[in-house]
Amino acid sequence: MIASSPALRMIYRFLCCIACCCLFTACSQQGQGTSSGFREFATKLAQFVGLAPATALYEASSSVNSISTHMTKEQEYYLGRAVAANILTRYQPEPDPALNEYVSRVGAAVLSTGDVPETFGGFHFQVLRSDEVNAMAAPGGFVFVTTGMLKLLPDEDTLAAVLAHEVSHVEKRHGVDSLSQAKMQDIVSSLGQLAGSLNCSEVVAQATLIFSGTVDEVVKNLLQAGYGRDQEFEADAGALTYLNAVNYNPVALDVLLEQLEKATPSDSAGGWFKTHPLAKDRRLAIEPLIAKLNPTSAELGRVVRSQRFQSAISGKLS
Amino acid sequence: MFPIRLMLPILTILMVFFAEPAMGAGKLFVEVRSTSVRKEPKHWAPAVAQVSYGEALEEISTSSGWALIKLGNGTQGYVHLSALTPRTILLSGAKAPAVEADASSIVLAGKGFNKDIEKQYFGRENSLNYSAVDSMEQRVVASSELYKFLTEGKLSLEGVS
Repeated sequence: MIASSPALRMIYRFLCCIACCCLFTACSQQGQGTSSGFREFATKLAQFVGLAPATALYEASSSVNSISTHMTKEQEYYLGRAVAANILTRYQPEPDPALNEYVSRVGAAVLSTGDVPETFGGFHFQVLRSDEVNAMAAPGGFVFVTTGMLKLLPDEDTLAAVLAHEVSHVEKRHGVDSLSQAKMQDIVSSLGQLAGSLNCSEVVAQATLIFSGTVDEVVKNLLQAGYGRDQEFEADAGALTYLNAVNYNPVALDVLLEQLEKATPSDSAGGWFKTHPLAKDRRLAIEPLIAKLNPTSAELGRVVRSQRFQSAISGKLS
Repeated sequence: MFPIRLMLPILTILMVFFAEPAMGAGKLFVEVRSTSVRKEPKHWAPAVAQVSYGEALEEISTSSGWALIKLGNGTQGYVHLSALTPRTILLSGAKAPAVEADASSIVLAGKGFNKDIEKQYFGRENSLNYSAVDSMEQRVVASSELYKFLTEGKLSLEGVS
Protein backbone atom coordinates (compact mmCIF):
# COMPACT_ATOMS: atom_id res chain seq x y z
CA MET A 1 0.00 0.00 0.00
CA ILE A 2 2.82 2.34 0.92
CA ALA A 3 4.57 1.88 -2.39
CA SER A 4 1.44 2.47 -4.43
CA SER A 5 1.19 6.22 -3.91
CA PRO A 6 3.92 8.82 -4.49
CA ALA A 7 2.57 10.91 -1.61
CA LEU A 8 2.68 7.97 0.80
CA ARG A 9 6.12 7.00 -0.45
CA MET A 10 7.32 10.48 0.41
CA ILE A 11 5.75 10.28 3.88
CA TYR A 12 7.29 6.84 4.37
CA ARG A 13 10.75 8.14 3.44
CA PHE A 14 10.27 11.09 5.76
CA LEU A 15 9.30 8.77 8.61
CA CYS A 16 12.33 6.55 7.87
CA CYS A 17 14.60 9.59 8.14
CA ILE A 18 12.98 10.69 11.40
CA ALA A 19 13.23 7.12 12.77
CA CYS A 20 16.91 6.86 11.88
CA CYS A 21 17.64 10.26 13.47
CA CYS A 22 15.75 9.30 16.63
CA LEU A 23 17.49 5.91 16.88
CA PHE A 24 20.87 7.52 16.31
CA THR A 25 20.16 10.12 19.00
CA ALA A 26 18.87 7.49 21.43
CA CYS A 27 21.95 5.30 20.81
CA SER A 28 24.46 8.13 21.04
CA GLN A 29 22.92 9.48 24.24
CA GLN A 30 22.58 6.08 25.83
CA GLY A 31 23.44 6.27 29.49
CA GLN A 32 23.31 10.06 29.41
CA GLY A 33 19.80 10.42 30.65
CA THR A 34 17.85 9.89 27.44
CA SER A 35 14.24 9.61 28.50
CA SER A 36 12.63 6.21 28.22
CA GLY A 37 9.67 7.87 26.47
CA PHE A 38 11.95 9.13 23.72
CA ARG A 39 13.65 5.76 23.36
CA GLU A 40 10.26 4.11 23.15
CA PHE A 41 9.09 6.60 20.53
CA ALA A 42 12.27 6.08 18.45
CA THR A 43 11.93 2.31 18.65
CA LYS A 44 8.24 2.32 17.81
CA LEU A 45 8.70 4.61 14.87
CA ALA A 46 11.61 2.56 13.50
CA GLN A 47 9.62 -0.63 13.84
CA PHE A 48 6.64 0.90 12.10
CA VAL A 49 8.70 1.80 9.06
CA GLY A 50 10.23 -1.67 8.94
CA LEU A 51 13.62 -1.04 10.51
CA ALA A 52 13.36 -4.05 12.80
CA PRO A 53 17.04 -5.10 12.49
CA ALA A 54 18.09 -1.59 13.45
CA THR A 55 15.87 -1.62 16.50
CA ALA A 56 17.20 -5.06 17.41
CA LEU A 57 20.67 -3.58 17.30
CA TYR A 58 19.60 -0.64 19.44
CA GLU A 59 17.66 -2.77 21.90
CA ALA A 60 20.57 -5.19 22.21
CA SER A 61 22.85 -2.33 23.17
CA SER A 62 20.43 -0.64 25.55
CA SER A 63 20.87 -2.79 28.65
CA VAL A 64 23.38 -5.23 30.02
CA ASN A 65 21.83 -5.85 33.37
CA SER A 66 20.01 -9.02 32.37
CA ILE A 67 21.87 -10.87 29.66
CA SER A 68 19.37 -13.71 29.72
CA THR A 69 16.71 -11.40 28.35
CA HIS A 70 18.91 -10.64 25.34
CA MET A 71 20.11 -14.16 24.72
CA THR A 72 17.56 -16.35 22.95
CA LYS A 73 17.10 -19.98 23.90
CA GLU A 74 18.89 -20.89 20.66
CA GLN A 75 21.93 -18.75 21.50
CA GLU A 76 22.04 -20.12 25.05
CA TYR A 77 21.96 -23.64 23.58
CA TYR A 78 25.08 -23.03 21.47
CA LEU A 79 26.84 -21.50 24.48
CA GLY A 80 25.81 -24.55 26.54
CA ARG A 81 27.10 -26.95 23.89
CA ALA A 82 30.51 -25.30 23.99
CA VAL A 83 30.57 -25.37 27.82
CA ALA A 84 29.53 -29.04 27.72
CA ALA A 85 32.30 -29.78 25.19
CA ASN A 86 34.82 -28.25 27.61
CA ILE A 87 33.48 -30.32 30.52
CA LEU A 88 33.53 -33.50 28.44
CA THR A 89 37.14 -32.77 27.47
CA ARG A 90 38.27 -32.27 31.07
CA TYR A 91 36.29 -35.23 32.43
CA GLN A 92 35.90 -38.65 30.88
CA PRO A 93 32.29 -39.37 29.86
CA GLU A 94 30.97 -42.59 31.41
CA PRO A 95 30.63 -45.06 28.52
CA ASP A 96 28.09 -47.39 30.17
CA PRO A 97 24.79 -46.76 28.34
CA ALA A 98 22.61 -48.37 31.03
CA LEU A 99 23.97 -46.10 33.78
CA ASN A 100 23.55 -42.99 31.63
CA GLU A 101 20.03 -44.06 30.68
CA TYR A 102 19.06 -44.61 34.29
CA VAL A 103 20.36 -41.16 35.33
CA SER A 104 18.52 -39.67 32.31
CA ARG A 105 15.26 -41.29 33.45
CA VAL A 106 15.62 -39.84 36.94
CA GLY A 107 16.32 -36.46 35.31
CA ALA A 108 13.28 -36.83 33.05
CA ALA A 109 11.16 -37.67 36.11
CA VAL A 110 12.33 -34.45 37.81
CA LEU A 111 11.38 -32.53 34.66
CA SER A 112 8.05 -34.28 34.21
CA THR A 113 5.99 -32.00 36.46
CA GLY A 114 5.91 -29.28 33.84
CA ASP A 115 7.33 -26.61 36.14
CA VAL A 116 10.64 -26.54 34.29
CA PRO A 117 10.69 -24.53 31.06
CA GLU A 118 11.74 -26.38 27.92
CA THR A 119 15.17 -25.46 26.62
CA PHE A 120 16.07 -25.14 22.92
CA GLY A 121 17.66 -28.59 22.62
CA GLY A 122 16.05 -30.19 25.67
CA PHE A 123 17.67 -31.41 28.88
CA HIS A 124 20.32 -34.14 28.63
CA PHE A 125 22.12 -36.01 31.41
CA GLN A 126 25.59 -37.52 31.41
CA VAL A 127 27.62 -39.38 34.01
CA LEU A 128 31.30 -38.39 34.23
CA ARG A 129 33.86 -41.01 35.24
CA SER A 130 35.68 -39.21 38.04
CA ASP A 131 36.27 -39.79 41.74
CA GLU A 132 35.70 -36.10 42.33
CA VAL A 133 32.37 -35.51 44.09
CA ASN A 134 30.70 -33.15 41.66
CA ALA A 135 27.66 -32.25 39.61
CA MET A 136 27.21 -29.32 37.26
CA ALA A 137 24.99 -28.00 34.52
CA ALA A 138 25.83 -26.02 31.41
CA PRO A 139 23.39 -23.42 30.05
CA GLY A 140 20.71 -24.85 27.82
CA GLY A 141 20.23 -28.06 29.82
CA PHE A 142 23.43 -30.16 29.78
CA VAL A 143 23.55 -31.79 33.22
CA PHE A 144 26.51 -33.79 34.57
CA VAL A 145 27.07 -35.92 37.64
CA THR A 146 30.31 -37.71 38.52
CA THR A 147 30.68 -41.32 39.57
CA GLY A 148 32.29 -39.91 42.75
CA MET A 149 29.01 -38.19 43.56
CA LEU A 150 26.97 -41.32 42.72
CA LYS A 151 29.10 -43.34 45.16
CA LEU A 152 28.12 -40.96 47.93
CA LEU A 153 24.37 -41.24 47.31
CA PRO A 154 22.22 -43.71 49.24
CA ASP A 155 19.22 -43.88 46.90
CA GLU A 156 17.31 -42.58 43.88
CA ASP A 157 15.67 -39.73 45.78
CA THR A 158 19.05 -38.20 46.64
CA LEU A 159 20.16 -38.58 43.01
CA ALA A 160 16.94 -36.78 42.04
CA ALA A 161 17.91 -34.04 44.54
CA VAL A 162 21.32 -33.59 42.87
CA LEU A 163 19.77 -33.42 39.40
CA ALA A 164 16.92 -31.15 40.56
CA HIS A 165 19.47 -28.70 41.99
CA GLU A 166 21.33 -28.61 38.67
CA VAL A 167 18.12 -28.35 36.63
CA SER A 168 17.16 -25.42 38.83
CA HIS A 169 20.42 -23.62 37.93
CA VAL A 170 19.56 -24.07 34.24
CA GLU A 171 15.96 -22.98 34.70
CA LYS A 172 17.05 -19.82 36.51
CA ARG A 173 19.71 -19.23 33.83
CA HIS A 174 22.44 -18.82 36.46
CA GLY A 175 25.11 -19.83 33.92
CA VAL A 176 24.65 -16.68 31.86
CA ASP A 177 23.46 -14.40 34.63
CA SER A 178 26.63 -15.01 36.65
CA LEU A 179 28.84 -13.57 33.91
CA SER A 180 30.84 -10.46 34.73
CA GLN A 181 29.45 -7.07 33.76
CA ALA A 182 32.27 -6.56 31.24
CA LYS A 183 31.52 -9.87 29.58
CA MET A 184 27.81 -9.06 29.46
CA GLN A 185 28.61 -5.76 27.72
CA ASP A 186 30.75 -7.61 25.15
CA ILE A 187 28.05 -10.18 24.49
CA VAL A 188 25.24 -7.67 24.15
CA SER A 189 27.32 -5.60 21.75
CA SER A 190 28.27 -8.68 19.74
CA LEU A 191 24.72 -10.03 19.60
CA GLY A 192 23.56 -6.60 18.51
CA GLN A 193 26.05 -6.53 15.63
CA LEU A 194 25.12 -10.05 14.56
CA ALA A 195 21.38 -9.26 14.82
CA GLY A 196 21.89 -6.20 12.67
CA SER A 197 22.81 -8.43 9.71
CA LEU A 198 26.39 -7.20 9.83
CA ASN A 199 27.76 -10.71 9.43
CA CYS A 200 31.01 -9.76 7.73
CA SER A 201 34.03 -11.94 8.52
CA GLU A 202 35.41 -9.32 10.90
CA VAL A 203 32.19 -9.26 12.93
CA VAL A 204 32.04 -13.07 13.00
CA ALA A 205 35.71 -13.29 14.06
CA GLN A 206 35.11 -10.76 16.83
CA ALA A 207 31.92 -12.59 17.90
CA THR A 208 33.85 -15.89 18.00
CA LEU A 209 36.42 -14.31 20.31
CA ILE A 210 33.65 -13.04 22.58
CA PHE A 211 31.93 -16.43 22.43
CA SER A 212 35.20 -18.12 23.40
CA GLY A 213 35.75 -15.73 26.31
CA THR A 214 32.18 -16.27 27.46
CA VAL A 215 32.57 -20.05 27.37
CA ASP A 216 35.80 -19.78 29.39
CA GLU A 217 34.08 -17.62 32.01
CA VAL A 218 31.08 -19.95 32.35
CA VAL A 219 33.41 -22.98 32.63
CA LYS A 220 35.49 -21.18 35.26
CA ASN A 221 32.35 -20.34 37.24
CA LEU A 222 31.16 -23.94 37.02
CA LEU A 223 34.40 -25.70 37.85
CA GLN A 224 36.35 -23.28 40.00
CA ALA A 225 34.67 -20.12 41.23
CA GLY A 226 31.14 -21.46 41.70
CA TYR A 227 27.94 -19.44 41.63
CA GLY A 228 27.00 -16.90 44.27
CA ARG A 229 25.55 -18.08 47.58
CA ASP A 230 22.18 -16.59 46.70
CA GLN A 231 22.10 -18.51 43.43
CA GLU A 232 22.95 -21.76 45.24
CA PHE A 233 20.23 -21.22 47.82
CA GLU A 234 17.83 -20.32 45.02
CA ALA A 235 18.72 -23.56 43.21
CA ASP A 236 18.12 -25.52 46.42
CA ALA A 237 14.69 -23.90 46.83
CA GLY A 238 13.84 -24.72 43.20
CA ALA A 239 15.03 -28.30 43.68
CA LEU A 240 12.70 -28.77 46.65
CA THR A 241 9.75 -27.63 44.54
CA TYR A 242 10.58 -30.04 41.70
CA LEU A 243 11.15 -32.96 44.05
CA ASN A 244 7.92 -32.37 45.90
CA ALA A 245 5.91 -31.92 42.70
CA VAL A 246 6.90 -35.32 41.33
CA ASN A 247 6.65 -37.00 44.71
CA TYR A 248 10.33 -37.57 45.34
CA ASN A 249 10.96 -36.96 49.02
CA PRO A 250 12.19 -33.33 49.37
CA VAL A 251 13.97 -34.39 52.57
CA ALA A 252 16.37 -36.18 50.17
CA LEU A 253 18.06 -32.82 49.55
CA ASP A 254 18.79 -32.57 53.27
CA VAL A 255 20.05 -36.18 53.24
CA LEU A 256 22.32 -35.33 50.31
CA LEU A 257 23.74 -32.29 52.12
CA GLU A 258 24.23 -34.37 55.25
CA GLN A 259 26.20 -36.91 53.19
CA LEU A 260 28.34 -34.11 51.79
CA GLU A 261 28.89 -32.75 55.30
CA LYS A 262 30.13 -36.16 56.40
CA ALA A 263 32.38 -36.65 53.36
CA THR A 264 36.00 -37.46 54.08
CA PRO A 265 38.64 -34.71 53.78
CA SER A 266 40.06 -36.28 50.61
CA ASP A 267 36.62 -36.19 49.02
CA SER A 268 36.11 -32.58 49.94
CA ALA A 269 39.29 -31.33 48.26
CA GLY A 270 37.55 -29.91 45.21
CA GLY A 271 34.53 -30.29 42.94
CA TRP A 272 31.17 -29.65 44.59
CA PHE A 273 32.85 -28.65 47.89
CA LYS A 274 34.94 -25.98 46.24
CA THR A 275 32.12 -24.45 44.21
CA HIS A 276 29.23 -24.63 46.69
CA PRO A 277 28.50 -22.96 50.05
CA LEU A 278 29.01 -25.07 53.15
CA ALA A 279 26.53 -27.93 53.36
CA LYS A 280 25.59 -27.01 56.95
CA ASP A 281 24.58 -23.48 55.84
CA ARG A 282 22.50 -24.91 53.02
CA ARG A 283 20.80 -27.34 55.40
CA LEU A 284 19.87 -24.47 57.67
CA ALA A 285 18.45 -22.54 54.71
CA ILE A 286 16.28 -25.38 53.41
CA GLU A 287 14.99 -26.49 56.81
CA PRO A 288 12.06 -24.00 56.93
CA LEU A 289 11.26 -24.69 53.29
CA ILE A 290 11.02 -28.43 53.87
CA ALA A 291 8.81 -27.81 56.89
CA LYS A 292 6.30 -26.03 54.63
CA LEU A 293 6.05 -29.01 52.28
CA ASN A 294 3.94 -32.02 52.97
CA PRO A 295 5.73 -35.07 51.60
CA THR A 296 3.20 -37.51 53.03
CA SER A 297 3.12 -39.86 50.07
CA ALA A 298 6.83 -39.62 49.21
CA GLU A 299 7.59 -42.79 51.19
CA LEU A 300 5.33 -44.66 48.81
CA GLY A 301 7.52 -46.44 46.29
CA ARG A 302 10.73 -45.41 47.99
CA VAL A 303 11.81 -49.05 48.38
CA VAL A 304 11.28 -49.74 44.66
CA ARG A 305 13.19 -46.58 43.78
CA SER A 306 16.07 -47.51 46.10
CA GLN A 307 16.23 -50.99 44.61
CA ARG A 308 16.41 -49.76 41.04
CA PHE A 309 19.07 -47.22 42.07
CA GLN A 310 21.21 -49.98 43.60
CA SER A 311 20.64 -52.17 40.58
CA ALA A 312 21.63 -49.33 38.18
CA ILE A 313 24.90 -48.47 39.96
CA SER A 314 25.86 -51.98 41.05
CA GLY A 315 29.41 -52.82 39.94
CA LYS A 316 29.69 -49.67 37.83
CA LEU A 317 31.33 -47.20 40.16
CA SER A 318 34.59 -48.94 40.99
CA MET B 1 -15.37 18.59 2.75
CA PHE B 2 -12.11 17.57 4.39
CA PRO B 3 -9.44 17.30 1.62
CA ILE B 4 -8.33 13.72 0.96
CA ARG B 5 -4.72 14.88 0.49
CA LEU B 6 -4.62 15.85 4.14
CA MET B 7 -6.44 12.78 5.35
CA LEU B 8 -3.81 10.34 4.13
CA PRO B 9 -0.85 11.80 6.05
CA ILE B 10 -3.01 12.29 9.13
CA LEU B 11 -4.11 8.67 8.99
CA THR B 12 -0.50 7.55 8.51
CA ILE B 13 0.67 9.52 11.53
CA LEU B 14 -2.22 8.16 13.60
CA MET B 15 -1.23 4.62 12.58
CA VAL B 16 2.31 5.23 13.86
CA PHE B 17 1.04 6.03 17.32
CA PHE B 18 -1.83 3.62 17.56
CA ALA B 19 -0.46 0.66 15.62
CA GLU B 20 -0.75 -2.64 17.48
CA PRO B 21 1.18 -5.77 16.59
CA ALA B 22 -0.29 -7.07 13.36
CA MET B 23 1.31 -10.46 13.75
CA GLY B 24 1.10 -12.86 16.61
CA ALA B 25 -2.60 -12.44 17.44
CA GLY B 26 -3.84 -15.98 18.09
CA LYS B 27 -0.51 -17.37 16.94
CA LEU B 28 2.25 -18.90 19.00
CA PHE B 29 5.70 -19.68 17.59
CA VAL B 30 7.83 -22.68 18.50
CA GLU B 31 10.87 -21.35 20.39
CA VAL B 32 12.77 -24.64 20.73
CA ARG B 33 14.43 -26.83 18.10
CA SER B 34 11.67 -29.41 18.23
CA THR B 35 8.89 -30.31 20.62
CA SER B 36 5.98 -32.70 20.83
CA VAL B 37 2.33 -31.91 20.40
CA ARG B 38 0.79 -34.17 23.02
CA LYS B 39 -2.55 -35.86 23.40
CA GLU B 40 -2.88 -34.60 26.98
CA PRO B 41 -1.24 -31.68 28.81
CA LYS B 42 1.38 -33.97 30.40
CA HIS B 43 5.04 -34.52 29.57
CA TRP B 44 4.56 -38.28 29.56
CA ALA B 45 1.48 -38.20 27.29
CA PRO B 46 1.83 -39.69 23.80
CA ALA B 47 2.85 -37.31 21.03
CA VAL B 48 0.43 -36.74 18.14
CA ALA B 49 2.87 -34.60 16.14
CA GLN B 50 6.26 -32.89 16.26
CA VAL B 51 6.70 -29.20 15.62
CA SER B 52 9.93 -27.35 14.84
CA TYR B 53 11.65 -24.07 15.56
CA GLY B 54 9.85 -21.07 14.12
CA GLU B 55 6.62 -22.92 13.25
CA ALA B 56 3.49 -20.84 13.81
CA LEU B 57 0.72 -22.62 15.69
CA GLU B 58 -2.87 -21.56 16.11
CA GLU B 59 -3.62 -21.07 19.79
CA ILE B 60 -7.01 -22.36 20.91
CA SER B 61 -6.62 -21.93 24.66
CA THR B 62 -4.04 -22.03 27.43
CA SER B 63 -4.28 -23.53 30.87
CA SER B 64 -1.88 -24.59 33.65
CA GLY B 65 1.27 -24.08 31.62
CA TRP B 66 0.03 -25.79 28.46
CA ALA B 67 -1.40 -24.43 25.21
CA LEU B 68 -4.04 -26.28 23.25
CA ILE B 69 -3.03 -25.63 19.65
CA LYS B 70 -4.17 -26.50 16.16
CA LEU B 71 -1.84 -27.39 13.31
CA GLY B 72 -2.39 -26.51 9.67
CA ASN B 73 -3.65 -30.04 8.94
CA GLY B 74 -6.31 -29.70 11.65
CA THR B 75 -4.48 -31.81 14.27
CA GLN B 76 -5.03 -30.52 17.79
CA GLY B 77 -2.91 -31.17 20.84
CA TYR B 78 -1.04 -29.70 23.77
CA VAL B 79 2.35 -28.01 23.74
CA HIS B 80 4.10 -26.83 26.91
CA LEU B 81 3.92 -23.03 26.99
CA SER B 82 7.64 -22.73 27.75
CA ALA B 83 8.38 -24.06 24.25
CA LEU B 84 6.27 -21.32 22.67
CA THR B 85 6.49 -17.58 22.31
CA PRO B 86 4.05 -14.97 21.07
CA ARG B 87 7.06 -13.28 19.42
CA THR B 88 7.36 -13.76 15.68
CA ILE B 89 10.33 -15.97 14.91
CA LEU B 90 12.00 -15.10 11.63
CA LEU B 91 14.01 -18.03 10.37
CA SER B 92 17.27 -17.35 8.49
CA GLY B 93 16.57 -16.02 5.04
CA ALA B 94 13.02 -14.98 5.88
CA LYS B 95 12.17 -11.39 5.07
CA ALA B 96 11.30 -9.10 7.97
CA PRO B 97 7.72 -7.93 7.87
CA ALA B 98 7.42 -4.41 6.43
CA VAL B 99 5.26 -3.28 9.33
CA GLU B 100 6.09 -4.42 12.82
CA ALA B 101 4.80 -2.54 15.78
CA ASP B 102 7.22 -3.79 18.40
CA ALA B 103 10.82 -4.95 17.91
CA SER B 104 10.59 -7.06 21.05
CA SER B 105 7.97 -9.07 19.16
CA ILE B 106 10.59 -10.37 16.71
CA VAL B 107 13.17 -13.10 17.24
CA LEU B 108 15.81 -13.40 14.54
CA ALA B 109 16.48 -17.12 14.44
CA GLY B 110 19.97 -18.33 13.64
CA LYS B 111 21.53 -14.97 14.55
CA GLY B 112 24.11 -14.34 17.23
CA PHE B 113 25.72 -17.36 18.85
CA ASN B 114 24.84 -20.03 16.31
CA LYS B 115 26.17 -23.01 14.40
CA ASP B 116 28.55 -20.82 12.37
CA ILE B 117 30.08 -19.32 15.52
CA GLU B 118 30.34 -22.84 16.98
CA LYS B 119 32.17 -23.97 13.83
CA GLN B 120 34.61 -21.06 14.10
CA TYR B 121 35.10 -21.75 17.81
CA PHE B 122 35.73 -25.45 17.22
CA GLY B 123 38.23 -24.44 14.52
CA ARG B 124 40.19 -22.60 17.21
CA GLU B 125 39.67 -25.21 19.95
CA ASN B 126 39.71 -28.43 17.93
CA SER B 127 40.68 -30.65 20.85
CA LEU B 128 37.23 -30.13 22.40
CA ASN B 129 35.09 -33.23 22.71
CA TYR B 130 32.06 -32.05 20.75
CA SER B 131 31.32 -35.63 19.65
CA ALA B 132 30.57 -36.53 23.29
CA VAL B 133 28.13 -33.61 23.40
CA ASP B 134 26.43 -34.97 20.26
CA SER B 135 26.20 -38.43 21.88
CA MET B 136 24.76 -36.90 25.03
CA GLU B 137 22.10 -35.14 22.96
CA GLN B 138 21.13 -38.40 21.28
CA ARG B 139 20.00 -39.78 24.63
CA VAL B 140 16.29 -39.06 24.95
CA VAL B 141 13.78 -40.63 27.33
CA ALA B 142 10.67 -41.59 25.36
CA SER B 143 7.31 -40.60 26.86
CA SER B 144 6.23 -44.26 27.19
CA GLU B 145 9.49 -45.06 29.00
CA LEU B 146 9.00 -42.08 31.32
CA TYR B 147 5.42 -43.12 32.07
CA LYS B 148 6.63 -46.60 33.05
CA PHE B 149 9.45 -45.20 35.18
CA LEU B 150 7.11 -42.83 37.03
CA THR B 151 4.43 -45.42 37.71
CA GLU B 152 6.88 -48.13 38.81
CA GLY B 153 8.52 -45.73 41.26
CA LYS B 154 5.12 -44.52 42.54
CA LEU B 155 5.99 -41.04 41.39
CA SER B 156 3.35 -38.48 40.56
CA LEU B 157 1.82 -38.30 37.10
CA GLU B 158 -0.15 -35.20 37.92
CA GLY B 159 2.24 -33.05 39.91
CA VAL B 160 1.86 -32.49 43.64
CA SER B 161 1.43 -28.88 44.76
